[in-house]
Order: sequence, then structure tokens, then C-alpha cells
Amino acid sequence: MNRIAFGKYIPTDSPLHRLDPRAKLAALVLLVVSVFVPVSWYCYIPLALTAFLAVRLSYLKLRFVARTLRPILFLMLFLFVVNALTLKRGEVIYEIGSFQLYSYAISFTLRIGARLFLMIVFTTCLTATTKPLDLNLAIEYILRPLGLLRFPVHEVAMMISIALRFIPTLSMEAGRIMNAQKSRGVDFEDGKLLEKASAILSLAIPLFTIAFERAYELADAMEARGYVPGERRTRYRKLRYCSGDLVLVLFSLLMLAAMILSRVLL
Amino acid sequence: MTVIVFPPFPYIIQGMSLIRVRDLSFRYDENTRSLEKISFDIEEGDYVTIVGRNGSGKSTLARLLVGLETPDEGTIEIDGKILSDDNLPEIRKRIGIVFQNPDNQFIGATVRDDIAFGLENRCFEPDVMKRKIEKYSRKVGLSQLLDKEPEALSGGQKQRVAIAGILAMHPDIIVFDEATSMLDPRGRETIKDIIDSLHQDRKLTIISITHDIEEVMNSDDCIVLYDGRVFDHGRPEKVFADADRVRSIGLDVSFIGKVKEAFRKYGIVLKSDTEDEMVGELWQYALRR
Ligand SMILES: Nc1ncnc2c1ncn2[C@@H]1O[C@H](COP(=O)(O)OP(=O)(O)OP(=O)(O)O)[C@@H](O)[C@H]1O
Ligand SMILES: [Mg+2]
Repeated sequence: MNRIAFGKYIPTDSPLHRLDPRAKLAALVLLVVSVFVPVSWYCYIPLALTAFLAVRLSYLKLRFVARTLRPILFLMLFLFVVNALTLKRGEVIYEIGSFQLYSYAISFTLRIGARLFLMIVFTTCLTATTKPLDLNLAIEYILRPLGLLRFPVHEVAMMISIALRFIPTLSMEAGRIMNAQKSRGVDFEDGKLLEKASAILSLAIPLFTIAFERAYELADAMEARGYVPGERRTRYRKLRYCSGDLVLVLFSLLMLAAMILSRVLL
Repeated sequence: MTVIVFPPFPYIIQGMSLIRVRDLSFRYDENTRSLEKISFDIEEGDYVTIVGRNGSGKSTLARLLVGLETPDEGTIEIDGKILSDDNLPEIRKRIGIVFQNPDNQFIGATVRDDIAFGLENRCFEPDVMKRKIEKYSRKVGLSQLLDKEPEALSGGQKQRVAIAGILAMHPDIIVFDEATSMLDPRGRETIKDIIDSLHQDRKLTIISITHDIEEVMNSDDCIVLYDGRVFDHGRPEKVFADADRVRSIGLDVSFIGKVKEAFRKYGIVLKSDTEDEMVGELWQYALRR
């Protein structure tokens, strides 16, 4: 259950940990947009430097970042095959029989790869340095204007925070059920597709039953402690800006502006 | 000449109990009768235990008391006010409940956030909340664990968080619905000690649903439910004067006791008194075979 690195919070005390989650979220959005703007290769240099800086400032191990990137390798491979077969522009680089590999297929795949790579690195720097709860507060803050349109911002935020709270509990539960089913002879590792499906079903059904039971009890506990959906309530956790946040957001804004300019001018 | 007696006459004779339950009936569906015409009084500052075998209606009674269910018939009166939809928010402020499963009542992401949850609902300001969180976490011995997440806590610690969360809201009444039954012996003892110390002040009225005969004997008053009715009500020494009666109501027996009894049916006699010992003993037994 601990194999997934992407999106995981890493508790250290790095400079990025100390910044306001709203600023980090805003910066992420700006930087991800920046990643998708440029046309020229040179533009990826400042973006890559920024990504490197972000990793350093969040005290992340390169090995950890690499682990979050592993899934896109397969995606890239797949994309390359598709592009090689369909994109027929630029110069011919390689030829076997009737198949020709064009330069554009390579450069296009690399470009998408670079974008995904940067996007995942930036996102990892956010999620590894921001507790899910704080991120949720930031999302709630940013969605707040939607409240005017009767969108239940608080309730959605409450739902997210409860979902986050129960992910570890349920994944522990899943582990327990898997062990129980293994001891009864269910095989989760190998077997034919049908056998695998039935093994997963033997995990899913008890897990859902338990999740519903928990949900009912949790709802009772919340109600008994005076929670009424839609009613006004105060918040214990308050987010606070510091000057670092301003620097981060300004920097990201400048980056986006520079990328847009490069696209217009070059 | 007629004498006009001003209402409420009965109050003057009886004094006023904090909780008055009268002819309370409740069923979840047509076929099962969960509570049938239950009546009892609970005095302010008392420590009352509710006992009865599985399915006798104890949890149902607790849910009715805290307003999670509405009575089919009869009334629940708290400090002179009959519980109804209109005054439910008011009465909820005065009564808190700790449930059985430590995991399923932990709402916040950390101990701090969980204690804050109820306070947020009451619209306290953050600095007031902070003070209360510190005060009540100290009271249940959790000051060191305020920033821990639920996965990092034991069952007993989680139940202490639940208690702190309720104490922070200054209730008059706390209901415990088998709050210790999923805990190991040590966790159980700490929770029982906390309940005891809360009782010492005599400011809180405590209603505890339990299967633990030791706890029952320690309480001021005991209500025995049997099949949705009040079977007996009085001082525990009197209610449990003879041991057979205890058994006939389906009481005793710790988890360990139950395991021992189950094994005895197969001719296996276990001697352990704690879960750890028993695990060891069972392993030894299994390996010997
Ligand atoms: N949600 C429900 N829906 C339908 N019937 C229920 C529900 N909860 C309880 N009951 C029924 O109501 C009766 C009383 O149940 P209750 O949970 O109050 O018993 P209890 O004394 O708390 O038992 P235990 O010691 O097992 O906790 C039982 O017959 C039970 O089957
Ligand atoms: Mg019960």
C-alpha cells in the first residue's frame, strides 16, 4: 500500500513546507500553465531550473521524485509508438522497409514528455510539502466565490477532509481483509483474469460493507457533536500569508508572463 | 371550597430529576420492538450504568437520549425540557456521547483538529478553541499527542480524544456506549479512571453502557434492560445481590472470559488473564499439536 509515491506528504521542515498552501496552490496552477505555453526549446531551460529549485527547496530526495515519474515512462513509450506510426512530418530519420520514422514524431513525443515531467515534479513539490488537510483548506479558500452561486463549498471541503482522514484507515482495513482472504486460499497475485476478478471481488465486498458501516457511525458522531450541514461554523485552522508566499506567487506570475511573451515574440 | 393546586404539583413532591424518561417506546421497523414503555429517572451528578445482554436495547436508548432517534411514544425530559426537534440543538449542547468504535468517531485529521470539531460547530473563535484544546487534552493526558494522526494512536488514546472533545463543550451529561469494549485491558483501565475522576467532581452526570461488572459495582445506580424493558433499577449491590442473577441477565464477562468459555466447550482450558498472555498460550497450544 506504500508503493505509491505520487501525492504523498513527506513530513520535513523545508522552506516550501512553511509556505501558505494557498500560495503554493496558486503557484502550481501558474507554473503548470507556463509549462504548456512555450513553443521554443530554450524556454524549457528556465522551467527545468525552477523545477530543480523547487525539489531542492522542498528537501525531496531525487530518488523519491524519480519514483513519482516512473509511470510516465510507460506512457511515453506508448505515445512514441503511436506518434511514430502516425506523425509523418519533418525529416526521415530512420527507415525499415515501408516504415519511416520522422523527426517530428521524436520531437513531439519529447515535448509532451518534458511537459508531463515538469508538471509531475511541480505537483509532487506541492503535495509532498503540504498536508492534505492544509491543501483542502486552500482549495476551500479558492473555491469560496462559488459559494455565492449556492455551491456547497464548506460541505465539499468537509467531504474531502473526511475522505483524506479515512484513506489510511481503509487501506489498513484492506490489508487486513486481504490477509484474511489469503488465509482462506484466495490468491491475489497470480491466476487467470477471471480468478483475479473474483479475488478482487472478495476484497471489495467486505471493504464496501465496512466503509458504509463506518460512514453511518461517523455521521452519527458528527451529528451528536452538533454538526449541521450548511450551518455557520468557525474554523480552528487559519491560513496566514508571509512574505515568502508573495515571492513565490510573483515568481510564478513572472514565469508565466515570460513564457507568454516568448510565444508572442519568437 | 375547592383548593386549586398550581401545576406542576408532582414536581414539588418528587423534586426534579435531571433526566426523566416516561413510557418511552421505539422500534426501528414494524417487526422488532427495540424499547417498550421504558421509564426511569436519573439524578444530577450520578454515575449510572446501563446493563443488559446483546440486543436488549441499550444502544437504542443511548441514541434516543442524545437525539439521534426520535421516540415513537413517550418522552425524554432533560432538566425540565421535553426533547423535541425544536429544542434539540439546545439540548445537544448539554449532552455528549462516546461510542464504542474508537476509529469511527475520530473526525479530525489530528487530535487537535478532532477536539476542535465540536467547538467549530459551536462557533468558538480560534484562540478560545486553542485554550480549550490544551486544557481538556491535559485533563485526559493527551498534551503530548496533540499533533498526532489517528493511525498513530491506540484505541484507548482515541477514546480519550473523544472524551476531551466532549468535555471541551462543557456538557452536563456524558453517555458512554460501551466505550471501553474494544480496548485492551490497559486502555480500558485508563478510560475507567477518567470516568471515575469525572464523577469525583459531581458536576457531570455520567451514563455508561457496559458489560464490565467491576464498573457497574463502582456506579451509583444501575439500570438493567432486558428485551427492551427495564428489568431492574437500583443500587448495584442490590441489583446484583446474587451471582446467578448476573449470569441470567447475560452479564459478566470480559472478552478473555468469553474466549475461555468458548475454548472450554472443546475441552481446552486456558489460564491467561490478559490478551497478550492468551495469544502466547494459544500459540503454544497450536504448536504442541
Ligand atoms: N439500525 C437498526 N435497524 C433495525 N434494527 C435495529 C437497528 N439497531 C438495532 N436494532 C435492533 O434493536 C434491538 C436493540 O438493539 P440495540 O443495538 O439497542 O441493543 P444493545 O443492547 O445495544 O446490544 P449490544 O450489547 O449488542 O450493543 C435489537 O433487536 C436490534 O436487532
Ligand atoms: Mg449496543
